[in-house]
Amino acid sequence: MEITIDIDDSVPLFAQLIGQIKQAVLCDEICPGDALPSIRQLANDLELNNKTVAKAYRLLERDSVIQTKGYRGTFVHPDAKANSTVDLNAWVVTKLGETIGAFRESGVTDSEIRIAFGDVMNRRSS
Amino acid sequence: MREQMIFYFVFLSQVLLISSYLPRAILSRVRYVVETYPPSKYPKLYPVPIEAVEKAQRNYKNMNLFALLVGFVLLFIGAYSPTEEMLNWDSISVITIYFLVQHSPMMIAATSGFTYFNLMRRADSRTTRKAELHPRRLFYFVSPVIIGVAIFVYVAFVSFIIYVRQFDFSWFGGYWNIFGITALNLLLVGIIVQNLYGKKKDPYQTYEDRVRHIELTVNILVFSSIMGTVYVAIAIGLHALDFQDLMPISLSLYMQLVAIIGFRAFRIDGINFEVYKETPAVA
Repeated sequence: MEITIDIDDSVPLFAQLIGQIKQAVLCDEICPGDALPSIRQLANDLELNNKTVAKAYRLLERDSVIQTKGYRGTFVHPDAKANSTVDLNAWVVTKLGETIGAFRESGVTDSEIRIAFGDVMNRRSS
Repeated sequence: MREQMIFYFVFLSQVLLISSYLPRAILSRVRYVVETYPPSKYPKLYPVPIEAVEKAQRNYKNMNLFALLVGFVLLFIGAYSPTEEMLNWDSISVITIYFLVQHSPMMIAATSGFTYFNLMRRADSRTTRKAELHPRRLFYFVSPVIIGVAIFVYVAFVSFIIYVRQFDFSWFGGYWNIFGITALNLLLVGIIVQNLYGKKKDPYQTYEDRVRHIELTVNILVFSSIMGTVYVAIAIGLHALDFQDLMPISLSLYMQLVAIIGFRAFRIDGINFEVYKETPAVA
């Protein structure tokens, strides 16, 4: 199974990687339990920074598309196919849209929403 | 006297093999590639003008010719004013230094190879990059039995050194032998890891070619580890048993074996040259 990334594409490199790995799972080109290359191997093969591949792997692991088994390496998750269809970004956009719509209906201005959003995000990260 | 005759016969074969036969074989393969895959049809294979490739071939040939002449001079001196040790100095040192002279054309060619691949990468204007979604692991390329043998040979060598150390030979380097062989093995392990997980040097190389190249390289390196360790053990054994006369012969034979095994890396059969065409049929 070969993956291709385009360094001139407007889509971020880590997002291209995530998309291609999920696509490979959905097309049954890689199956649950299959071993995946190490971060270093994939980064060197694609001539990317290790951090880019690590970020893609971290997000795929969060979405339960892949799983890391210590020194044995990284493998396709048993529920990878079902989880590959879940798009957390789209879900976040939908939920935020609904919430912001409710605020606007209540008369909250956009700048108040932005300030409140920033405050909440800052409080979470601190 | 008989050992000396045998030694000069073995040394002659070292001179001819490393400075004549193998360079000619390598040059004939390079010429075959240039003639079969010319720059007009395979431009990506030539990041430099063809004249530069021809000049590099001439330099390589001349350097080997020089090494061949040096070898014949050493043989001539040995035949007409025979001494117990080569050049009335130390046969082992002469063979080792001469081997380095014989190998310098290959080392220079290897260094130029890195520059050549860098030029290929710079000339590569593609914005897409491809990778296989399969892990590369050591045992995909080399049999676990061979790795087991390499580990066994290393452990046996360490035990052998500890055993010989109790005899308190004045010439014996003791634990420095273990240090030297460990350093050699660590170097080989580093090269293996680099081959398995490092960046590919040729930007156009297909995955199949890369896998074949890794398999060949890893096997050669593991065999080199085994051979190097066994040779040092044999040399120490010969010295301890007072067979010093046989040491130059064994060293010369070992050098030839190293050269033959190294030569195996220069295989061109099976390489997919279509990727070097302007519009590759197989990407």
